[in-house]
Amino acid sequence: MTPSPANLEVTDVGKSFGDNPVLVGVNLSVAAGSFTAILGPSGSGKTTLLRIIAGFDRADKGTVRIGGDVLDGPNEFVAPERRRVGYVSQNGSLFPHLTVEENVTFGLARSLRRGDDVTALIEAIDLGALARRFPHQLSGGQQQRVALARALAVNPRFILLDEPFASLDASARSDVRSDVRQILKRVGTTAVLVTHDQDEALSMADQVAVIRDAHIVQSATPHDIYQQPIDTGVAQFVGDANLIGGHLKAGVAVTVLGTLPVMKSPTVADGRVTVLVRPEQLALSRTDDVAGVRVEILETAFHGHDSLYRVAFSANSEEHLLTVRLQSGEQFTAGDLAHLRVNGPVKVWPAP
Amino acid sequence: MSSPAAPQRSRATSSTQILERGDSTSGHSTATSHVRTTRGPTALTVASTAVALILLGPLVFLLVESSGAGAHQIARLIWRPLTATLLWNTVRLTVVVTVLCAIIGTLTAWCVERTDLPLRRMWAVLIVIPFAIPDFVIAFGWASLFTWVHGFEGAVLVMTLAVYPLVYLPVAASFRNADPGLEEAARSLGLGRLSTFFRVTLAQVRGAIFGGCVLVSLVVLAEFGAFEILGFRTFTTEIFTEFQLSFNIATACALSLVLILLSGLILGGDWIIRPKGRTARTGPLAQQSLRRHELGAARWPVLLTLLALVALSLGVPIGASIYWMARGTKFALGGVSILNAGLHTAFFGACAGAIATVAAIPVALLAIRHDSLKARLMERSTYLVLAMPGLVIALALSYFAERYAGGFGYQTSALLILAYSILFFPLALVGVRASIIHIPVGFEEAARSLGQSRRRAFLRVTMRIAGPGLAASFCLVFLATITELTATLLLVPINVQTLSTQFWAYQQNLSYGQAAPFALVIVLIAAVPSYVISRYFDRLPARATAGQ
Ligand SMILES: Nc1ncnc2c1ncn2[C@@H]1O[C@H](COP(=O)(O)OP(=O)(O)O)[C@@H](O)[C@H]1O
Ligand SMILES: [Mg+2]
Repeated sequence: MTPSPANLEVTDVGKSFGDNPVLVGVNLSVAAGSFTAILGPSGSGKTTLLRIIAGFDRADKGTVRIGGDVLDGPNEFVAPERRRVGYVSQNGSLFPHLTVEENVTFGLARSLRRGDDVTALIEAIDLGALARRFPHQLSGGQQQRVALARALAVNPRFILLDEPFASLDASARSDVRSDVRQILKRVGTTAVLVTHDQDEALSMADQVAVIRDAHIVQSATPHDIYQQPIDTGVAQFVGDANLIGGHLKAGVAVTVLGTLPVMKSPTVADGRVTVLVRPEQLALSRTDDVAGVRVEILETAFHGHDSLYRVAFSANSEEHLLTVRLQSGEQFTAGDLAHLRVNGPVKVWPAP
Repeated sequence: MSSPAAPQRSRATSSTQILERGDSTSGHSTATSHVRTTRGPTALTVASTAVALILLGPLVFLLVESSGAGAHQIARLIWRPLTATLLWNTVRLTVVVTVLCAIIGTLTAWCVERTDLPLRRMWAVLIVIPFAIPDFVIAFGWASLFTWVHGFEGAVLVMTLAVYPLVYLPVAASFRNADPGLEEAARSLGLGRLSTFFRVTLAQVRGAIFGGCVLVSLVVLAEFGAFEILGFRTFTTEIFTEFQLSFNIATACALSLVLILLSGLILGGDWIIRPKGRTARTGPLAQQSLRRHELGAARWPVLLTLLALVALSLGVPIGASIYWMARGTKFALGGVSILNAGLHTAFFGACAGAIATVAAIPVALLAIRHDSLKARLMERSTYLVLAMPGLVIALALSYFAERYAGGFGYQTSALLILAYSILFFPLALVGVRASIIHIPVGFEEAARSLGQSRRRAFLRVTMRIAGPGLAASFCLVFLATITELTATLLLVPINVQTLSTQFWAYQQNLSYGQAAPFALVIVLIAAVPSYVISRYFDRLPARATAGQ
């Protein structure tokens, strides 16, 4: 099997259902062989976008190009069966009347259905022993692996995954996630995954595109999405966020938490700003620290690998609430007093 | 929900409705996720429109034809004392039979589903079987044994015994789905046994009772064979006489219009005043908490009553057939062997089964997959066929063939097969719908992304999964044709006999000994298997969704 991964260009795509605009001016570019996650709350149009790329629905406006070929444009429309774009849906859509093996070979010409490639593929997804089972005899995770193998068997240039892990229970999910990630890396196909789970998007993808209210608002590496979200909405969507007011002047932000260094780029004009402090940028200590703010612990939540604290303090006769994440180490209980410190540069936006 | 399919045509449409009702509740939650685009592909729309047009053809033809004759002429033919007599006969029979069926059907359903009646499973089957026996066989059984069974009283007796399962089936299904916790709640709120029964228990199944009553009245309006045997004059017997014996076609058309109007009123009334409240349980399954009412000492009278009901509805017709066969009265009447008649029946039935099933596919697909107003209207309009008694469809078709096709096609196999296909289309549609509705569109989309064309994806996935259901639909129509009498009498090719027309010929000739074997064969090869097959649809949703 030698897939030739292709890149994807979605340009200015729009789609409405009746009066309801589901996608407006969507732009997305995915490099050949890369793994992109489209992240958005449910109802934000993720499935609609994937279905347009797969060719199940037609865009009202804009173009979709894969490997330079226009698949959907004002004057072109390529039928889904001629796109060589694989599609794995949320529930796998395995054909219930066919065995695992028959499902995987469904898209192959009759002569190729018994080849070594097929055996290798079924082995690759670890389902050799289950080849003669029917879909309803498989677990959810196994069904998803079969659906992936079925899509890969026809050697697509591109593969689309629509919330493939959403229907799995939490314990199976992380295993299946890493299996899928490995299989896709090994095969080298370009992949686009849709999810509403920010953990999944950040941990699996090379690129994350955040979709909100019919628009793609930001697409960047997982690291940048997390550290440099384009606005407060994205900041809150991709993780816990403490947002505080401040004044920017000469590269530092003056806030109730003290004077904080600000990330170099992009440059923001001096003046009133909103400051993002991620919970793990905050540290608590019992020892008196001149630079810190005195806070009271309100609530604690122990997660094993780390702990979350809700803390409160007053400054300028206003009550402030913050979330702090600490690696295991010193433990605090509700009612304790502690000192709070900020580590590293912070992200700022001009205040609205 | 169990629903034997249907011998006579009117029966077929009835079980159609029973199936449909169950289907619409069970399919409800999943149906929406299967709808993606609103505008169906052109080929599907064109095919469904063609099917709808053919189905409505007889109705349109009748209307056009009578408006051609002039309103004055039609009014003169209708405005006669004869019409008043027929109307009085038809309406009073329909009302009395419907009320009796409502009472018998509801009480038996309650006994079987809600009490600790001994041998419940056995009763559940025995009570339903008369539904699968053609009305004309039940009428034959009674009238041939007891001379006093005739006229209005005879018709009430025979029709009630023949069609009460039409109320029993939906009401029993409704009792099974209703939440028994409500009765306990009512008792704890201070209601007595009787007021609980009337205010809560009956309220839970009133939609089903209503639906059953609509079916009963449609069947009674369309019945022909039984009334002919019992010598009771209704619209159908009169239309048949005018058309077939007196060649008085204008009168037959005029009377048909009145009959269609009556059925149409019932269908329309059903759509308008059917009780709207939801009767399904709202909470999760409460089945375990179902405590059956203890019959106690009432057990013996209840058992005796049920035994009597089964003896009257099942025992008499089958007993009579066996009796006459044993007596073996020999009247010579151009002997056509059972095998020969059976082969003709099978040929007509197989053709009609295939045509009706295939024709139902585009209509069902359009309605399920492309849920638009247009698609739903189209599907609904095909149900208008329900308002057309088999006799009227046959009359319209044969008249059309005679009048406009220059006699071409009249009394040919093709016309009979067309009549069967139209008659039993609603039955096929419900079967096809039930087979397709649980197949997500996602399967076909997955196939297309794997390189299959639209057509191949449809054939390799949807049709393969629907295959067993389509086969069952085919069988339902096939078996329904075996027990069809009225349209067959009008349209059967000259010199050809089917099982039902041969039975009829012997019966009319009072050769009971020769008619009896045909009655038994019809019951055995059509009624019983159709009961078994219709149970297939009970399990369909569970099977189809088991994989996902
Ligand atoms: N076929 C359709 N007809 C009408 N509205 C639709 C259709 N498909 C999706 N929508 C609407 O478009 C919006 C986005 O849907 P979808 O793309 O499925 O969102 P997501 O996958 O992000 O949850 C929703 O509001 C949904 O109701
Ligand atoms: Mg979605």
